[in-house]
Amino acid sequence: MESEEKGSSMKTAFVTVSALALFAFAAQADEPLQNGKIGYVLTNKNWAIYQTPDGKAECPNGLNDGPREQFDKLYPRDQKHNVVDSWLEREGEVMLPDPVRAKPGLTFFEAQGDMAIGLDLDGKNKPGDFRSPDGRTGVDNRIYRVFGCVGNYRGPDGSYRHFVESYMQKDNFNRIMMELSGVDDLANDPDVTVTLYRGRDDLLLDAAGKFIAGGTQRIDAEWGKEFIRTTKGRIVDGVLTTVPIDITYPESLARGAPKQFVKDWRVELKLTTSGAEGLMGGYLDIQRLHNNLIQNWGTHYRSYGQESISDEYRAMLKNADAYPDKNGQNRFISSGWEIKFKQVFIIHPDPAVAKATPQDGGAATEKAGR
Amino acid sequence: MSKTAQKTGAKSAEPDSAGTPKHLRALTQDQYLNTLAYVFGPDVQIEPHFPPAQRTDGLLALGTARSGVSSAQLELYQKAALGVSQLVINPERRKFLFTCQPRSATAADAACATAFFTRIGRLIHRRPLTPAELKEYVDEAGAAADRLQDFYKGLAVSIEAMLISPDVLFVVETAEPDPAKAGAQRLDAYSLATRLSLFLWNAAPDDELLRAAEKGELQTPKGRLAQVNRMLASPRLEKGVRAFFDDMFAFDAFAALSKDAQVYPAFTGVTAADAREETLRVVVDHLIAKQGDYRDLFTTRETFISPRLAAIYKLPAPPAWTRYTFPEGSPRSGIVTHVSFLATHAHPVRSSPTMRGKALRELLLCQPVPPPPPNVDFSALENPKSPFKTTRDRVTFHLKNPVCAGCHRITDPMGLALENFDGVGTYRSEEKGQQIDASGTFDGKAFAGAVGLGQALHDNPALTSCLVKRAFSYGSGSAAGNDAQPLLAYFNTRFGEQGYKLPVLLREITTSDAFARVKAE
Repeated sequence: MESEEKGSSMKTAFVTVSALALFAFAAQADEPLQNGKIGYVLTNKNWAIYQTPDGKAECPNGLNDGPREQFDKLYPRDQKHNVVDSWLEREGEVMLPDPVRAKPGLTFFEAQGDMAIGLDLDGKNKPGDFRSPDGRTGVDNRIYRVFGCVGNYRGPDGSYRHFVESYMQKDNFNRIMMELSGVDDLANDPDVTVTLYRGRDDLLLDAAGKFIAGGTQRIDAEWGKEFIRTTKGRIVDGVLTTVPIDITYPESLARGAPKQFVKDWRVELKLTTSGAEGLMGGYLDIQRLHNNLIQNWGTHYRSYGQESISDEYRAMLKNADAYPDKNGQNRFISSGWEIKFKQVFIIHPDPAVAKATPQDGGAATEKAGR
Repeated sequence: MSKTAQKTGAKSAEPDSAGTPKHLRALTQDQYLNTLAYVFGPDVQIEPHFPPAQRTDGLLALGTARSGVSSAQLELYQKAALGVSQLVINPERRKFLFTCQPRSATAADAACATAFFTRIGRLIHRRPLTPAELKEYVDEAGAAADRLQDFYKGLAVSIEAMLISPDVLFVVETAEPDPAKAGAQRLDAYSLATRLSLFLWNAAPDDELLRAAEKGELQTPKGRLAQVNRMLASPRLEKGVRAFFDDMFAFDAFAALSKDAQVYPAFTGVTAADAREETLRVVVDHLIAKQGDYRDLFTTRETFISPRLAAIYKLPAPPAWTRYTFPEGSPRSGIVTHVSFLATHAHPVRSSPTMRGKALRELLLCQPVPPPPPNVDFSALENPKSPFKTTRDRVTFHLKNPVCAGCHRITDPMGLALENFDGVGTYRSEEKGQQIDASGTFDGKAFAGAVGLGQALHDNPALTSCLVKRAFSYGSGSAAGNDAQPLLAYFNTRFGEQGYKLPVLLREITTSDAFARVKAE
């Protein structure tokens, strides 16, 4: 254990800070909801993909082709091709796809039907909206059209789903936490405050490697400042709904650690003292999502999940339903995610250290005696 | 003892004692490793996997006198010795482990080997080597060096042999006439040095203690007191105290502890290791660093937590160990509310007031509880359609059967006070929807919950007398029998007069005549 206590002065400072913060909890009983506060840490996040057992209803043409299948169709192996017109053409198309036209001979299948999982983001039941399996109408989740028939995103074992969950355990970059404060009753409370943070610690696992409640997370008050957002919410019959806000959230992908930007983000979560489970929704920044995918989601992963990013890009722009640019092209797309949290104790940093940034040369930290 | 008495080593009022037998007992794995760390440096680390001793009269330490060595176990010792010998001759370590350079690195050098084995052999054997022993180690090393054309590899052969020598693996105590008391026997100086060092440091004597033995100082009250005070002031005392309480609290149970992951998902192997460490940290902090009252171990709210333990305690905890104080009003106080005690004395899927009560009686109060009779009928308790809603209901059923009630009346009323903690030590207020009644009684005193139990333990005279008994037995290597009662009562009185501080008790025991007295066979 001593070795854990060694490290950089910054690490030592944070351990000290955390220890001090810990004493702030000393006067409280050992219950997750303490002084009107309860913390949760994200453990599962998947695109909300509605799937029928055989997939024929939503994907009557089957699943889409990926890079390998498309390459074979465009450049049959029994013909000769030069590098510029084959390999490099495909690489260019992935990096800078034509926003409208696909290469002749290639087809992209969007998810069909009017059934999808998600939230009603705009309070309207308009053409193009979905209804959900649990009876909702006006569901806004246009990205389901894009991802619904791509193997990578379908359950139970699409590569994207697998890796997002895997990196949830392996990485800290994507440690999203939600702290509820001003909670009088976890079952019903008309006014609670919801704050998002990034955590700094590993998730707590049981002996079988499953996420469990009761861990501790320190807030990343330095490099995670951009992820800190506060909104209001209400709890009705144990379900939390939040007032929409714009957020940036960290995500870990196969080869990188991108950030996604969501407008009008909100959650609808069933709360317990050990966890929270439900949906999150909002309008996702298409260009940032596409950039993140091409930069961090290698051809290797796209091939195994049969995912054509350039086709997805065109489909996203086609289905985009919010926040148009000056040319009238919508740049954001309604999206839904299924998410799960586990209860966690959140340790707040010493305010003096939290203010210390590289720009001040650590002066605030030094002044605080850390 | 007065300060004057401490300074002079003068003893008063110690009752006459027949002493304890001289022993032949096996070094434990930790004693072996701690000794190697002192002699060769802390980075000479191996995992020898020595066989565990059998718990005898409440202590593993007493079981070491009943240990034998099978051929398979000898192989483990040999493997460990081989590993150490190779580490010792490593070129990087030669610089500081060897005080001489051989004339040639590819041939025997009797003079350099003699210098090496004289120094190392004394520390490993816990006494100076006899000329014959020294010659044998040097000769074997020389023959091997010539054969292997490597001075150091030759040396390694003899180091390996030394480390599996019965004289090293086993402590053989020897006696001599006590000049202060006609007809009486006492441990010789080296046996006394070893007994002191194994007790206080859980390791073989260091150079200074052996020097005091060689000079005869250890056999004088003043000289022994000086050495004991030096050892009590040493950082190495922590290892000795940890080893003693690990034994007294039967923490070897952690080696076989398992919990049902379906019922207690937060309890893992790391949790178990941390639980053991938590209690030992509190023991060391309270009894050594703070020189606290032993009884307060059972009421203190101060502890240390790790992230894994925090998940059981339902508390926040930063990475690494952190001091923590359970707040006033918390249901936890004292080490019996630690995960260590609560988890080791419970079933894999549920709590057990009986196991907890038995452990309290046997481990902390030295009050043995008889095992259940062989013909006991468990059918009503093992019925899968149990009619009992709470654990209290289950154990109360025992009291209806006179065969069971005799022992359960001793154990259960104490253990029930810990029912607010489940099988791994997490707090609970309800069981199967029923509010838990954590009231208990102990020797006629009624109390509510674990806090009351801790206070009852604190106030019970058996708590300190048990520690005294265990400490003397552990240090001397013999179970203290009835004939030792006056001596133990004397130690307990001295202990109490000086605030029940552990170092005081250790000093009283190790400087007593009884500690070095050898019982006539």
